[in-house]
Amino acid sequence: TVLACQAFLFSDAEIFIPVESRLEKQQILADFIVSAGELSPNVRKEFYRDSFFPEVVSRKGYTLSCNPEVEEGDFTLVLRGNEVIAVEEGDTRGECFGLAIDVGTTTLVAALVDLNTGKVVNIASDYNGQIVYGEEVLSRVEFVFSRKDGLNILQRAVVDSVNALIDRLLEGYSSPERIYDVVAAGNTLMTHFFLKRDIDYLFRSSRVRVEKKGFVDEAKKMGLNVNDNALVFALPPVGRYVGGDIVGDVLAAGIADSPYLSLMVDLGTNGEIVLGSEGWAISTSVASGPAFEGYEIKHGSRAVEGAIDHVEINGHGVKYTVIGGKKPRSICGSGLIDLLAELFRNGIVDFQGNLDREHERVRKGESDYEFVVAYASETETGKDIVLTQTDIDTLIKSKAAVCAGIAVLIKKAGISPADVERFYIAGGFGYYIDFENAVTIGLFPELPNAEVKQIGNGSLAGAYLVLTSQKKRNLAETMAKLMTYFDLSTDADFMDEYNAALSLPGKPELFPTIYDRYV
Amino acid sequence: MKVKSPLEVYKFLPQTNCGECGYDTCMSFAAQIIDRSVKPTDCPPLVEKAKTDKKFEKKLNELIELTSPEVAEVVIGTGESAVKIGGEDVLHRHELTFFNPPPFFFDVWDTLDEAQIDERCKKVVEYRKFYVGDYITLEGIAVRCTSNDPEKFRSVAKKVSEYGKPMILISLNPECMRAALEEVADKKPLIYAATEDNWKDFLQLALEFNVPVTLRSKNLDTLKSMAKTFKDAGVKEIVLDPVTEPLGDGLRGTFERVVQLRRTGILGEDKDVAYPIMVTPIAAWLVEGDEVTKGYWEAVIAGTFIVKYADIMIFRNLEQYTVMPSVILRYNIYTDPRTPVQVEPGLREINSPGPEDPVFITTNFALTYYTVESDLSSNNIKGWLLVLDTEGLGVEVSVAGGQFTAAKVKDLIQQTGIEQKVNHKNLVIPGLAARLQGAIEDETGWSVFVGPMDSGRIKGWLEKNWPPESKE
Amino acid sequence: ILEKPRFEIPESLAPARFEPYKVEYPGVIEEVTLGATRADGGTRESVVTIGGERSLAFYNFDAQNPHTPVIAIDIFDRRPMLAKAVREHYEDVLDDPAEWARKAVKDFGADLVTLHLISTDPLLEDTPASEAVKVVEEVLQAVKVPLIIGGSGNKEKDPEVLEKAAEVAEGERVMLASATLDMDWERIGNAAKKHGHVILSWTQMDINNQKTLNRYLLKRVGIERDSLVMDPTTAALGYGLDYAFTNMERIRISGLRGDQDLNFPISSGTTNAWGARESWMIDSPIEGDTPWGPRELRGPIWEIITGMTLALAGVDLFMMMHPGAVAVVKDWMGMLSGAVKESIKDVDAWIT
Ligand code: B12
Ligand code: SF4
Repeated sequence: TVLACQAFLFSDAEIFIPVESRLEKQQILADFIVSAGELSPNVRKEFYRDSFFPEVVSRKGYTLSCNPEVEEGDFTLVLRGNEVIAVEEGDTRGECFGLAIDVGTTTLVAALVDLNTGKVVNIASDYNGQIVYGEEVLSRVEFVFSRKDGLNILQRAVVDSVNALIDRLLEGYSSPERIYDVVAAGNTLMTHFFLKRDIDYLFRSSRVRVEKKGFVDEAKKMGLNVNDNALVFALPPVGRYVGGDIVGDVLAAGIADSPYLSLMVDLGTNGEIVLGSEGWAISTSVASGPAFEGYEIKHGSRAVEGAIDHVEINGHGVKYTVIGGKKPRSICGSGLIDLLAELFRNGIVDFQGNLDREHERVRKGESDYEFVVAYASETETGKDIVLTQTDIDTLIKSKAAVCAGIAVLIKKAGISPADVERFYIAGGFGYYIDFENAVTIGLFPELPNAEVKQIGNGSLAGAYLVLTSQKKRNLAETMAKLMTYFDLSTDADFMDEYNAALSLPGKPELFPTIYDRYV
Repeated sequence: MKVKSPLEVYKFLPQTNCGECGYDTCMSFAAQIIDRSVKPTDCPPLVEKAKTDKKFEKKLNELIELTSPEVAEVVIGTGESAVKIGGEDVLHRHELTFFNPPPFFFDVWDTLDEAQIDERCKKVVEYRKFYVGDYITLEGIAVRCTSNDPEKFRSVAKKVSEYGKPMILISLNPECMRAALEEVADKKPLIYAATEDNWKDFLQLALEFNVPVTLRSKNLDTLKSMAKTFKDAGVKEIVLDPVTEPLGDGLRGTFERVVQLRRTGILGEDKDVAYPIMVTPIAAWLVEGDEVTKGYWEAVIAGTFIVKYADIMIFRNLEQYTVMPSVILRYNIYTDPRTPVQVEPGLREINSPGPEDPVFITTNFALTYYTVESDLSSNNIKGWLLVLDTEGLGVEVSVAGGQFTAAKVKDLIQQTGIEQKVNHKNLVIPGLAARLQGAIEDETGWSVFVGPMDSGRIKGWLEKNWPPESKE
Repeated sequence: ILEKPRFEIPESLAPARFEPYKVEYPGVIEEVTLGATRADGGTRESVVTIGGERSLAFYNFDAQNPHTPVIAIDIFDRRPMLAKAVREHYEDVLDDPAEWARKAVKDFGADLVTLHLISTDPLLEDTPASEAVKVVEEVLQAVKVPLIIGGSGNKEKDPEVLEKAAEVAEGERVMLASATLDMDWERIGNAAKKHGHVILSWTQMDINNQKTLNRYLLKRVGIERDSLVMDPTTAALGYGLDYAFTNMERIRISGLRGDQDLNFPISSGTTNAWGARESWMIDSPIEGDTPWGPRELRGPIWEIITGMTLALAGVDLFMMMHPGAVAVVKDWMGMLSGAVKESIKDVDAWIT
């Protein structure tokens, strides 16, 4: 087999793409749980029968920022506040749409929303076209710094991807000019790329202060295929590492307007963590690494078809379920968590994660010891699926960073894990996690009094809320201003917690019941 | 302080996140108050509002009361050399940190001849101990009145005050004390000491000359009642001396009294005893034996109470076997467990090396630098030690965290001009930085040798690997 | 003349009662006895019991702690590298461990003796375990105080050395130093259990690893709760003593608060103090420094201050070397624990 990007074709050839790297439709978590109680979108429509446009405008005291198609008769005004952004012939009230977009580093998810009812009409997702210019954010920053028009190219790439999504969303529903308002949420750098904002200031010094206001631009100027006068509002960033997507998570979870002491974790390549309640919030981000997305794990993968997503070990056998119900060919994040938890419960790994070399399913692999999850006969790839000692160490280092980040925030707030009343897990991969297993391996500390809620793609949910509610739109900015970001890279507390978390389940005080039962 | 979490402090702040305090949100300002790196009055809007609005004034005062240290703080001396004592908040350093290391005062007495007084004062002023990047010094001089003659005590107090160090004036006789205070009160000396017999005169002196005063009694009821009396009469700066007894059951009793005073002040929240505590290791000189026996016992008493709650100490012995362990123990116990300590980056010469001797590199984390430096010098290894600026992080940590880079090694080689000092280009790097070997070779053009993981094994490693056969 | 400002000076002192704040802990530290007399199948004439605390070190005013900490003197099964100030006291016995042990007990009042079998180190003589343990018998004959046996620190060889030593010292209830997380702690633990000895559980200044290693020895090896002592690692004054002090203090407080994995006696390798340059170097290598003075006086005080500081954190057993240091620390602990009563009458004398 050869790497496609390093091979040349000199004649017709038949190419076999290995099963593992076939690009299946990503199971992106598209559903999000949000209630749009108080519907107050930024744009509304008013229908006038047999009226004279200039008379209505002056009577109502509206201002005009478009050249109307029609002067009199039956027409519909599209209003943003008191500003008329479009005048349409006839009664077009039925078609008043908005767009909520989660501008992810790797994946974009967009929702078409009926602004009359707040209902989500359609959802589509696809890769972010910017991947071509760098798998992860820092390499795209390199790209911007290395090319004069780099920022332009990156904006072009993401806008093209969004426009493709818009076409898929509108099929059978409506047309682009009926989309009058766009709200986007993404991490700080993705927001800057999407709205073509200069990023140098973010890298000049370590104590950078980010402008904590929503980014606004004209959809037309950005090249978005929506109504010419539509505006794009991007949720405000909090710091260099905590962006609008996290503000979206916090809005979706409702942390800002609930009296409960809430903890929220958004598990992606970086783990963003927020602790807060009514009127305050503190946040941090940890380099948890992509291990839970399958990277750096021998048979790891994202949550795609054929990935083992749940595991149980009893007696000698390993029971597992596979996404898409077919034969397994890899293990995804939630499967890895279950597996490590079960290995630990059954004493197949000790408190430092070392495999028990006498166990029947543990053997010496090429480089180091490994535990066989599924034998070749059961898999689609015809090879054993294993979890190696290095995989385990990588997973433990990843979970240690997340748990340490949570523990340090709790310590800085001067409270104890038992005080936490709500625990929200956000981010695509987070939705499938078995909470009990996540605590058993020490990804999350024991939170005895916390109600656990999965909020799925909180970034998209936040964008949806801002699109459909003035209150939430203002709350987004106050929330960003309120959130205090703690940089942990040289924080001695963090190192103590990190060092203690480099074991299963981790620091004994954070896992009273798990520690007693299994260590 | 009463409050433990920024959340409690946050309630008292304007919560406008205006940033005037230098922090982007009120919550991060609140976290700084808990760490005691800022005071409530560092929030300009709060102070302004308190001036005009009664409600805010009450809020500000309440916040100041809640966030002031459990144990009162007393200042002795004036200007640069003044010392702050007391102001502690916790009984165990890992609960937060200890704040004000106890200053050491060495005694002279007014029946000593001038030359001897000058000799001892000079020793105190000129004392230097290099440790972890800076020089440790001694803080003050205690003048004892042994002549019982006010004029004699006055002149010696005046003479000693010219050395510019904070002072403790020691005499139980009010007339002598008054004479000395007339001379040096403006230097804010600590007067020692009011007792059950002379407290009225000393209260008068303390109020009249506005100087901090030490209350001395072995009976804690008496000590508390004197403190209450002095406070009610308007004396603000009070120090408690529960009497240091050097030996046997006396030492045990002293230990109990000091611990009980501090614990009752903090946990018992008894404001009448929450004052800085004076311990006097000089009492060891009442023990029989030669000078070394007394000096050793003085260090033992000092060590006991550096760990357990002394806020100020009076010593006699200026010999290193008493002073050095005491100043280093004080430095260690009062190191803030929350911040890494670092040394100056650059080049160090170990055992006066020549141009053919090896070049080593380590980091500027104090624990690392001093471990490596002492392993080299104690094994009489001659060599050049490059100290890389990793923002005070150890080798393994800075390699993992990206502060230890080949580019920085290249800059350091250029800055220190090491290439002009040696006739070879062989650099020995720490075993724990092995993965950077290739990058450093490419970046600097030097031949890079991976040394042992622990600097203690450098001697054995050199025997096998130095001088290196020429590397093509 | 300016009228002297009048201050109200009250007639009498304000009445006041000092109410000391009392602290009580729910937990108690396990009591561990080292050494076995004839009655218990050994040949020791004295045994040592440590631990049993209900309050912090020397806080007998909170709750009387039953035992005063004890001191073991280090001896080696081959001539070791020693600082001059130490070597001069053992010049005549460096090559005869039995004599060395006798001297440590008779002349310098050691409560126990720690025999380090460093000749088994592959980097030194690499003596086989079976041969090296002969010295254990010699020392057991030479002195009648309890014995602590240490290996060379070599991960692969120590389990075997300590296993053999445990067999040879059957019934004497020695302490095996030590089991660590990156060594075959199961094998060393079993050796101690099988032959009725005490195990020393050694971790690198990490309270969580200490808790977990203790739990493994207790639950997986089945070490009795009266046969485990902890060594959380000692760093010298000026070279990390604050890390060691805080680590031990946190361990002791957790034990007193009821943590059943940490409420064991603590041991300190106080001899590490001699690793500090200030204790053995002739003078300071830094020109700006005030001269350091004679090193014969600096070494012992370094060991004393290192030991005393850790005693205040809760250490129950000290492994020391310099006889002077041993004597001073013993005396000081005797006073603080109330055993040595005699004190000075006129304590105000120094004032005048
Ligand atoms: C204290 C500590 C911290 C403190 C650092 C304090 C400081 N000022 O250095 C803090 C909290 C800041 C910290 C942070 C982190 N740490 Co940390 N930390 C430790 C810890 C507990 C002790 C390290 C230490 O102080 N060693 C003592 C010093 C003296 O050792 P040293 O500097 O290496 O020097 C010795 C040798 O290198 C050698 N030597 C030194 N110079 C020379 C020169 C020559 C020529 C030779 C021959 C030899 C030699 O001799 C010296 C004496 O033995 C270790 C775990 C452990 N117990 O070791 C983890 C550890 C080093 N940290 C680790 C990690 C991952 C981190 C973080 C990246 C965690 C995170 N994900 O954020 C961050 C990085 C922060 C950054 N760099 O920006 C890992 C490193 C893993 C790896 N090798 O990749 C460790 C091993 C923990 C672990 N088990 O994972 N850490
Ligand atoms: S100056 Fe005061 S009000 Fe402004 S941010 Fe700081 S703490 Fe808040």
